[in-house]
Amino acid sequence: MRQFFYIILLVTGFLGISLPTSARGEEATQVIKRLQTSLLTVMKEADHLDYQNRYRQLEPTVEETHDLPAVARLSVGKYWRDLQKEQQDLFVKTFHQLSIATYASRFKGYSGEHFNIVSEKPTRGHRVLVESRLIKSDGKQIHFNYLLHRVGGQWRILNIVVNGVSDLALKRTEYTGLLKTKGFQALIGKLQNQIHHYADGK
Amino acid sequence: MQRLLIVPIVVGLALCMHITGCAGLSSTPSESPPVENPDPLEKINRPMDKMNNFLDRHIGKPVADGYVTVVHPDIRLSVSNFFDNLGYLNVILHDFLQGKGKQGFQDSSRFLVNTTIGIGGLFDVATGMGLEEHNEDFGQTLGTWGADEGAYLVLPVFGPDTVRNVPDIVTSAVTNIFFYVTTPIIAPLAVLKFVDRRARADQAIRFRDESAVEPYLFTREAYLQHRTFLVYDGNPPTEELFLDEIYVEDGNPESASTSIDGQK
Repeated sequence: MRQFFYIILLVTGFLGISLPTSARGEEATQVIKRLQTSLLTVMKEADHLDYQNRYRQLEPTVEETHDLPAVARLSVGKYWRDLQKEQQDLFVKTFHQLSIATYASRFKGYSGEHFNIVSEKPTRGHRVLVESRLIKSDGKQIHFNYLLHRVGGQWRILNIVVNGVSDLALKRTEYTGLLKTKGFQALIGKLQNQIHHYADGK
Repeated sequence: MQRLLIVPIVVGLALCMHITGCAGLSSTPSESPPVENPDPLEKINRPMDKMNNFLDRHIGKPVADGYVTVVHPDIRLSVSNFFDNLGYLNVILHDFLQGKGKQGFQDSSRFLVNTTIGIGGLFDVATGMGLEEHNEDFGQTLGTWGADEGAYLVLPVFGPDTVRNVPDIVTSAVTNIFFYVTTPIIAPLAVLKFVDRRARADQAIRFRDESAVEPYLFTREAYLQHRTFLVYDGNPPTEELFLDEIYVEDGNPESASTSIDGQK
């Protein structure tokens, strides 16, 4: 009887040590898989999903898998400190809308693509790099690499690098360049124009 | 013929050395540190870029659109294959110059297969045989040898380039068989090559026009990053890939641990 008790203790103790993944938060690779599955679903349903519906369908997944507020702050670099609170709030809100609008506009057709996850490895600054490939129907591959960091126990995307081109670096160069030469209003104006452009007839 | 080849290559190298000051070449690919001003030629690049966009809007794009409308996709594909194959000797040259012997032999086979079975390069049969296409040029060779990229440069008509890659204009011309041929069909073929390239670049250019908030900066940044990607053949080291300093919000590296990552 005692032996049986000890076995139970051992088994339950062991189960207690290996927490289920959801208690620890998803692994970074799972976060990327979730995003990519969501994108492929929308692509496959693009025939009967207009822009607004694609936007609505992608919004929750994009919000959960990306750290949009952090990316927004990083995309204006040192100019963030110089913005007033109302400007910062407006910028983060606009950036948020633009990010989802970009996905909704770009992923609107399917022709046999699929994603493959290649690897996940830690990098500097407690971040994680997930390497993946988008494989098109003609066999051509596009490198989609994601850099994630932990926020509130959850892995979230900080940057996406497509065939060596870093989205965050691109945005940062453009936005800081515009802020320097033309100011905040010009930047917000351009971002809002882009959102309307994506929404109009796409 | 040998002297003919050597002179432009030597001139090209000398040009590069003078302009980029690539002293102290290392044996590892260039790990360019963050440059304070990545675009010292911006004052001449921007007007050139504006002129190129003007020419493109009024001539390049309409002609390329017409070409796409009128010419059947299969024929356009053959045209692209033909010119890609013609330019492939330059890729082979730079495979060997970068010490990529295996790739050099593979690419030589690719060229032979496409020229013979692919009927003068019109059909890309090599890819289906496992001889995939590679992208190598003089700029990447110099990058592999350790030369810095040099200044960003916007060439008339041809657009983005870097000073390091300028010598490639010479090698790609000299390794192209048409350089040695003088017939009346050269000029129309050169135009066709340009139209073909513009048609193939259309999607990327439209993407840029739709996505860019500041098109000049967008093009420069995307181009330079993609060049680094090519030098490393798709595997740049993480430092090059992610430019760590951009993840520190207030620009102060010491506070990196309490920057965005600290907001748990």
